[in-house]
Amino acid sequence: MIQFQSVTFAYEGEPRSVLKGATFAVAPGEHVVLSGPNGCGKTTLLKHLNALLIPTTGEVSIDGLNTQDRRHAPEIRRRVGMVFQNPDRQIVGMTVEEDVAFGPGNLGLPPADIRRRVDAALAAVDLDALRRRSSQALSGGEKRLLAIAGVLAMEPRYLALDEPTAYLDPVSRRRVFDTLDRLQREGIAIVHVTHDLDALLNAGRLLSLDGGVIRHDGKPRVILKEPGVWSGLGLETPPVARLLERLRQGGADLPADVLTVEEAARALKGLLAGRDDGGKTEGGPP
Amino acid sequence: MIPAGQSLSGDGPIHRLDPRVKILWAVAFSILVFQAGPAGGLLLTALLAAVGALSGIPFRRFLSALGPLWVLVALLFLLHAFFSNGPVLFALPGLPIALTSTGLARGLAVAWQFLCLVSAGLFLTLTTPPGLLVLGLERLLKPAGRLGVPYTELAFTVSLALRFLPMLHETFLQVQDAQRSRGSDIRSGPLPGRLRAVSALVLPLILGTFRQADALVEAMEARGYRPGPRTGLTTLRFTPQDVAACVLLGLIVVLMALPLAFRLF
Repeated sequence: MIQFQSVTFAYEGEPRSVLKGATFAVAPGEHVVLSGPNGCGKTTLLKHLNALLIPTTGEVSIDGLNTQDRRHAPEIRRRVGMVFQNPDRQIVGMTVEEDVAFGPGNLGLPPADIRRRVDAALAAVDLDALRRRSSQALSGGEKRLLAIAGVLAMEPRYLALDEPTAYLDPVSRRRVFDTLDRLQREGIAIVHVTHDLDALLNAGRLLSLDGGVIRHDGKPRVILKEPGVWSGLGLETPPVARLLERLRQGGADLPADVLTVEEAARALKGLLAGRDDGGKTEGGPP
Repeated sequence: MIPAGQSLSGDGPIHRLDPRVKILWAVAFSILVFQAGPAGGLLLTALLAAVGALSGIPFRRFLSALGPLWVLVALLFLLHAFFSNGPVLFALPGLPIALTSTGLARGLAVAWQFLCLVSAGLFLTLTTPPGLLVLGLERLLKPAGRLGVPYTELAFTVSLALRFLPMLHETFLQVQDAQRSRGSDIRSGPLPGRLRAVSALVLPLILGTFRQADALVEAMEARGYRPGPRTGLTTLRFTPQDVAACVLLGLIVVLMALPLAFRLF
């Protein structure tokens, strides 16, 4: 269990607190997305999960290990894998498999164990075929997957990811999200920062931050129904939701919580089916 | 030119040699090149050619890997050939320099030494994956650990430098493009403007590099890095071929290092 208890944090020399009393818990196997406008403290919060930052006041503990105690740092970093926004700045190895082996090598594991972990991590992100390739020669999406494999090789219980799909094309983005879904089904808890609507809706829980304060904590769909919440999260209302809103304003009997193309298609089909039925009962042509 | 830290895949006898043996060969060869007389030089050239043939590296790839270093070879030769004292072979009219026989011999020798050094380095790096090269270096430096030398950190620093050289180059190109798009170009225009463009390029490059270094340290810590011994995917083991290569190297060193041998060659 990851536990944040009244966490405040200010960077050294800065008078302003970036986090202001964050309290929440993440259970093993949960899928949590962290969202909010730029500069609201998402990355700072994420770095607390891995003991890269220590709260100014309050407490963060991972499976009971308090991050304040520096002796716990190696074990905390083994349990919480951290994937940063820019994969180029975290890939250390010159080849794909050397990079994945970096973490287990830091644990001092024997080569046979490292090999087993590297094989498993590369298989988990579907990069086995590229194991001997130069890490520099990978595409943007492959680099993200390599960064994920690098932390999976530590066999973590939790994965913390900072905008893992930023700057990716839709196909690569889908590949990263599918990988995260699979890992979560296998029991790894996922906490990730994202502005991607599909990812928000797909997660079991949404934590929204605003000015260092946790504004919302709950089911994404329930939170996204609240008026004015989109701009508060730094998001734009999706075009399909805007389209249905226009139709509703024009008198169409459509539900108000449509967010995806699939839901819109279902709602419009229902509307058309209702009109057909209505036509029949009013004695229109067969 | 082949980027730093990139080996060519292959499975020849030189590729299969233990990286420690190859590093020792390259180091010994680099020292011997400066000790050898004409006959010793011929022997070393023949050895280098044999290593090149056994490595299976296509000659054209080897030449392209040398890249702009040819310019340096030519420069070294010309400087020695035309700026040395000795019997004049050919004087350049109107210029205070002349080609001398002493300079010609010295220029050829220096150019040959430089080519040998670079070739030995290239054969080492082209036939050894960077990871193995760093591992070999770490194992060779291990005895220095007893004297307090941080050999694991030294080897790891080499590995990071190899990894980040291409990234540094990429950052340089990005900053250069950004400056050019705003009208500041180091490759054209009058000299004062170009000098200003260089200063505009250097500062963002240095800042960007520091930022990258900070982020890298954070990422390494997040993956459990601590100074000190680490383990890796590969274990190095000497094979009979490695032992044979070491014995051969020992023989060559003894042969060329003995004063008697120098007289013979």
